[in-house]
Amino acid sequence: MILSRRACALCALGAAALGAAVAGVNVVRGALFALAPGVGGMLAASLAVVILSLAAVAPPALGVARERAWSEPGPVEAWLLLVSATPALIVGMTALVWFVERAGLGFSLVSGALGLALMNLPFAALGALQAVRQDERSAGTGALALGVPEARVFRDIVLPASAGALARVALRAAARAFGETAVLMFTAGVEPASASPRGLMGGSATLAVRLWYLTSQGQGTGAQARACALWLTVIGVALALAGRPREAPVTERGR
Amino acid sequence: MVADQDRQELTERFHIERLWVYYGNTPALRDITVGIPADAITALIGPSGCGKSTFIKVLNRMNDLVPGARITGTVRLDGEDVYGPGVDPVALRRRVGMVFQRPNPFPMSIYQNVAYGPRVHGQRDERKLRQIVERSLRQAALWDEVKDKLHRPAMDLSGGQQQRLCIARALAVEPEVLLMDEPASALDPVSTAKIEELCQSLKADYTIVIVTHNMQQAARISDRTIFFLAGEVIETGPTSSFFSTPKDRRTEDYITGRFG
Amino acid sequence: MRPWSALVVLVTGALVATLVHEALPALVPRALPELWGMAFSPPDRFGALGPLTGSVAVAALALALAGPVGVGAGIYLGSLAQGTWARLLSGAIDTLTGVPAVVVGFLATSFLLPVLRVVAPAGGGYGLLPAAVALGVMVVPTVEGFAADAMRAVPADLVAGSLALGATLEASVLGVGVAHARRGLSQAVLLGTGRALGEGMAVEMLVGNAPHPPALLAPSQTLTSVLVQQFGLAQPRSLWAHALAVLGILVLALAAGVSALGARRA
Repeated sequence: MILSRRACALCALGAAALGAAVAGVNVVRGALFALAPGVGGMLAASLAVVILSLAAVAPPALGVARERAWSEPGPVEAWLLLVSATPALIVGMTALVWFVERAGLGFSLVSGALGLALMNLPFAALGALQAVRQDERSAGTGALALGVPEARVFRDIVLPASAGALARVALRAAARAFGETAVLMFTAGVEPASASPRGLMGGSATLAVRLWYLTSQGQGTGAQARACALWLTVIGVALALAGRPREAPVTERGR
Repeated sequence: MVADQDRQELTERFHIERLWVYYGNTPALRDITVGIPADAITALIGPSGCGKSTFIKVLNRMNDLVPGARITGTVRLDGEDVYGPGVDPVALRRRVGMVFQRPNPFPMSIYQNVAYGPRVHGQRDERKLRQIVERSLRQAALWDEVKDKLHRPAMDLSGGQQQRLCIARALAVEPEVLLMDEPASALDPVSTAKIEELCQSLKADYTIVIVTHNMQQAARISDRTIFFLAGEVIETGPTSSFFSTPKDRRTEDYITGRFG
Repeated sequence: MRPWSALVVLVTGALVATLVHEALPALVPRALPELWGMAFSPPDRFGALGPLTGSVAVAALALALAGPVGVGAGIYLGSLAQGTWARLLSGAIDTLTGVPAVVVGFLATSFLLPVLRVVAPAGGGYGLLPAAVALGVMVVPTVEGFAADAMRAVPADLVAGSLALGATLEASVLGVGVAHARRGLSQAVLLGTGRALGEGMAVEMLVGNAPHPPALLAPSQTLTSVLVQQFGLAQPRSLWAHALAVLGILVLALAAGVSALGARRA
């Protein structure tokens, strides 16, 4: 009996050990190279596209949440769930056509941020919806019963009540964007910006894109690659852990 | 009748002494000392929240699973302390079966539901399992209704049939005691009558403890009645005299419908 | 439908439409040489079948590795786990969620390929196997998350019913809980498969990218690895770019299709 629980735990711990190895090995080996030349600029580029993309995705995601907070899940949710399975690679291809080619933004941080926003749009909208639909809605329903308009109730009661859950959705979206490679290599380019700094309208490799580029060029053992891997792991894991959803209540378990 | 009751009191299956149960710091049962006779039906009655469900869950240690639950005092089954060191609650539950308030058939076929318990306890012989399934379903008065669809999902049965299936499932592991926590409260009157009939036919072989909030039911089927109020046992006695000549004023108020 | 919802649905719909529009010129009969060939090697060979087989094989292999681990962890964390072990394990899996795909690919390149190179020196260790291992590591958190959700949705009554028969907690969860959650558990595997089918970066770094038929330990192609390598290089509106969009539609259809299959069964 105890054995089967152990077996279960051990089986699952296989995965855990891999996770720990990924993080641990990176920290130890990468630490020596954290400040390799050129890494600072790419870190800045990574953070810039992430923040820009969050700013771009927040209004539509919150807009959907406000419009549908009191509706039963319907075709909109079903559609969002379906398109949320769109691979980032596909989003990147579309973003290349839309932003880089048709809109003439070229390989730039702006194109990159828009591509990331497009990638996160279904995820963020669904996440925001789920956040405002949790029990916070019942408080809002009380206010609705007083005759307060929905938009007002959303702003005054639902938003503050679900702020924590919404922040966690934003952190998870940031984690996805920060580690994303496929979207950015098609929109922000693969070369570090240091050669020609043109601000947000210029292209720059982010940490993730640079790490991919270096590895596929056979330079995966260099200091720069390791530094990229280190920053990606540390910040990516920190964002994901900070944004993880709250545990299900303990009372639901084992009774 | 009275003489019969006295004889049963001599063969006590459960003896509970100075039992206190706490959830966190709140006592749910206070200083309970009471006996449960063997091969008879004992009804536990009382208003909601009086502790009767807690009491029944103490008997097979299902209360162990409630976070924050704590107990003091002794509960003896055939003289052995149920909470004593070295007692395996899993082995105990095999001897003390339980039927829940809402039918909870497992998500598998009718046959597999009944065979599940014996299988868990090591019975691998398919021929024996078939015999056990048939015997248990017959005991639960369900065999004739399901014998042609044993391999259909249990969820397809009606609520009353599901509850009798749960009783068959409990009987299949050959317990000595059957605890029933308001087994008919979610059922229609016809199904309720069938469950009551079933209890009567089972009491020759099993000690049955049934929680009910229906006093007519307690009066109809039980041999002894225990009345709980606010975590305490107010009165206990043979059912016939319990309802006709209650000794405690609060019992009288309750059974005449003045509160609860 | 109100404005923001309409906008979001339109934009995401346009995404799919754009891909189809890009692919249209290549979908004219006989526009693409060897569309059903085994090798995608521009400018003259646009065989989609080889990469398609590679994608399906690598995802299937990844799930064969990650499925049992993810489902096992999900069952454990969703119903049995308590205390320190549980916190440790769930923390480790959440950590894994935060590791970017490209880092998993990078680590596999540095640590897994040298080992496989010993076994298969000719192919340099590249092939479907290392790609599937990396993919497997990446989808474990996905599978675990949905599997744990399915286990948490098991009514407490049901497990209690089994406990009351004298079954242990472990036997009750594995016997009755899993039976109740089996749809949710298979859904978790399907959603993991959907994610594996669409993942490109780690696969591209490990699969070897040679227009050969799929092989475990020799350079091969998948739909996604071709796209990662070539979509940025192809001249816009060239036959090459259109052919790549066709591969993109295949990836989207596979990934979204399998995921939708998973979501529908919930």
